[in-house]
Amino acid sequence: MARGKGGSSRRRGLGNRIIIPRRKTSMLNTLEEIPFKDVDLLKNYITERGRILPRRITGNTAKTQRALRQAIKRARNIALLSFAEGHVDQD
Amino acid sequence: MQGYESIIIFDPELGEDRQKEEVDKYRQLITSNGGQVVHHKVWGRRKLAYEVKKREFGVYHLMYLDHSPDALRALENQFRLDEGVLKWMSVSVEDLETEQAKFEKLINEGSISQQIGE
Repeated sequence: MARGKGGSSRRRGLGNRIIIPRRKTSMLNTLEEIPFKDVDLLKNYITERGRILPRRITGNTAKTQRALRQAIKRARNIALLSFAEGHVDQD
Repeated sequence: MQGYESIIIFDPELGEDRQKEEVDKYRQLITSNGGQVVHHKVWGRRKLAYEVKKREFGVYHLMYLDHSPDALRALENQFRLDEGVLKWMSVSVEDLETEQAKFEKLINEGSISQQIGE
């Protein structure tokens, strides 16, 4: 399937079904600041491979996602989180 | 003057006494540059998420500093020369007391553990 054209054919498959949008919420949205030292909290927002989960999955607002990104990057810098899991250094 | 939260990761091989000496050394450097160490906390020994200078563990220290940006640069240059410092990171903060309180709160709530063993 060509990229960008997938939308229309998929919609056709759904027929006249009414799509009820799921409300996305994230507990992070209520935090004023995301603590980069809270590794367990940040781990909820990264994949097993250590990548940052996109907003469409976490349901974060743009604002919190930016703050989250900042926090994760800080945590990575100070070796609290890994940049990439399952990567072996070549010595 | 600007508030900074500096995290320093020491080589665990240093031992507590040597770490204390190092911290005192930096404390002196900071005060001689006209800044001050408002708080100093030991987060403790933690497993590093990735190897740093062939070490798997590191001892995390937090310093809440009030000093000029130039003094911070001088301090970081010292970290760079120091073999016992695995890694460091300084983040500028609005208010040192609230930042310090937030860290305490995280520790007390058990969100972040203070010490992780072998």
